[in-house]
Amino acid sequence: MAISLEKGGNVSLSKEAPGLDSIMVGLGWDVRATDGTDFDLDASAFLLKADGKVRSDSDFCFYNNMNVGGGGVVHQGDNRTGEGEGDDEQIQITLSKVPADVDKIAIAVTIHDGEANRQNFGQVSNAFIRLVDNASGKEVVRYDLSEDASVETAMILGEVYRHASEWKFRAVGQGFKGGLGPLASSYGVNV
Amino acid sequence: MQLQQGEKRGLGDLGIEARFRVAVEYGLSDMDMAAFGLDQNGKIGDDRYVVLFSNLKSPDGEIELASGPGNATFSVDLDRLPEKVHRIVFTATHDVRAVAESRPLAVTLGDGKAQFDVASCLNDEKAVMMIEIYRHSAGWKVGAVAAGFAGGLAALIEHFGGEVGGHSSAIEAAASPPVNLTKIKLEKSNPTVNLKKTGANFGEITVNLNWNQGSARRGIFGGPRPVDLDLGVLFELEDGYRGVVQALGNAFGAFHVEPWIELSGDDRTGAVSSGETIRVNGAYFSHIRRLAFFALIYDGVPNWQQTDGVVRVTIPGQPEIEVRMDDGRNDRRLCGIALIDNVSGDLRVTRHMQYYESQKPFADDIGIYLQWTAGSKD
Repeated sequence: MAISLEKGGNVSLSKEAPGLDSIMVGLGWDVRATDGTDFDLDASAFLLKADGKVRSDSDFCFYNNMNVGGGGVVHQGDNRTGEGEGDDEQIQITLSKVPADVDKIAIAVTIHDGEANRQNFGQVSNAFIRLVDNASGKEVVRYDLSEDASVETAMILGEVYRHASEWKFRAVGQGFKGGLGPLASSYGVNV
Repeated sequence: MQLQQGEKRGLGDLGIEARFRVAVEYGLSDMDMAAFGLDQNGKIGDDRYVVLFSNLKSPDGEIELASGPGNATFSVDLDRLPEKVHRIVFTATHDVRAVAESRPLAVTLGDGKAQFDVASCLNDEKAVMMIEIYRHSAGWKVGAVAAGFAGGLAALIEHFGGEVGGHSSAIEAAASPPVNLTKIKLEKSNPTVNLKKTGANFGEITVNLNWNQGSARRGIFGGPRPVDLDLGVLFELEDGYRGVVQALGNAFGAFHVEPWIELSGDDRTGAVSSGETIRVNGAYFSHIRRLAFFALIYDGVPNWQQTDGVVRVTIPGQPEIEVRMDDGRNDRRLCGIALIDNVSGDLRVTRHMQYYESQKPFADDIGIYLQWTAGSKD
């Protein structure tokens, strides 16, 4: 039974799924039910040092830079509408491959052209992030963010981080105005 | 505060109590405002909690609608709402035009605690969810939605899990009070609708006249006498048989034999909530050439404005057709309301809405020529 986190909650991945190494991070949202421009949500990941910044621009994992951190974090491609069951976008994380100086991996979702299309996360239904143990195929932890979102066009959904000798996951649910560019800048990426 | 599209706020954070008002201000005629009480799946679970022009309040008055020109106000009491109602979505719909044409279209919550300018967020939607009030673990919240469907009311109902136009519709299935969500309003600008048979025939065609008797306005000295409105129909059959079905002269007609038209009875006061009804046997529609429905003020001073009359034509499997008697002329006793014509098997309904001294000039005007003598109901 997967753990369902509330905003701000965290869980020890090492305890929940002993031996966990290969993780599929799934992100999903409902396709737009009303008329208008579809919501094109983009998943991205930032490999961060202890100071909360990227080591270099190449630590920014997104649709134009899919394989990052020596194969530790791999983006699986872009879904343009949210159509289909289950995950809409996926990012694979292999914990053993994550460089030692990367302290945490922040996972974010942004609305493509959100400002131009006057779209924000308050309009997106049933967005979630979940972590699946690839070895067992089981969902380890899940966070449904729908009610924590409002007028932001970028959301930091969660972060996978080192804590002493183990890996943990935190449900962040932190909105960010301005979209992907400003979000990346805040992590020290030159965009 | 001004809400932005997509914004979600706790009602408590906005200083809004459990009993509050949702006021909608709009600037486009013939817009309909509704509040859809939905279950936890966002679907219509109990249509008595769909509050709109034809169902002005939920069972215990937890949601009540009051309308005026260019405004609609919903009074909401969240504490009294049953558990099963998880969400109330406030909608604006128009039959033919984009809701965005309405300027303003604005929602005010809690007498000014929060406002939302809906119109500026819209495109070509004819049915729009303006705001929603919903249960959340931390209490009730409000979401500024401003999204909808170019497909209009039908698409909106489908979104809420209802069906439109079918016999099996959950909306139509509920017996009381009737909530009619599909309808065609015949007006000056669109006076005609053509219907094709959906089955072997049109089934039982019901024409109902209902009016406001206005008793609430009468003072302790009695005030004006109640208005007695009679529904009648002039008919012309394919075989040339012409006549009238009306309470006057006890000409109640017959449903199963010629003329296949029957008046259900005479409501002399307007106190019978169902008003007056004429049924037409659609199985014999091929024998019918033309029907001309009229309302007659038999007794009392002709005061059409006060009657607030509405005629509804109901045909199984077809959208309800509504004609409002809103162009009153006080000096004439008879209002020719609507015509039904058999046009090569199709059923054409036309808004007529003209006033006459009596049946004869109406009949002459529409070309059903009869011999007339004075009659009485008593």
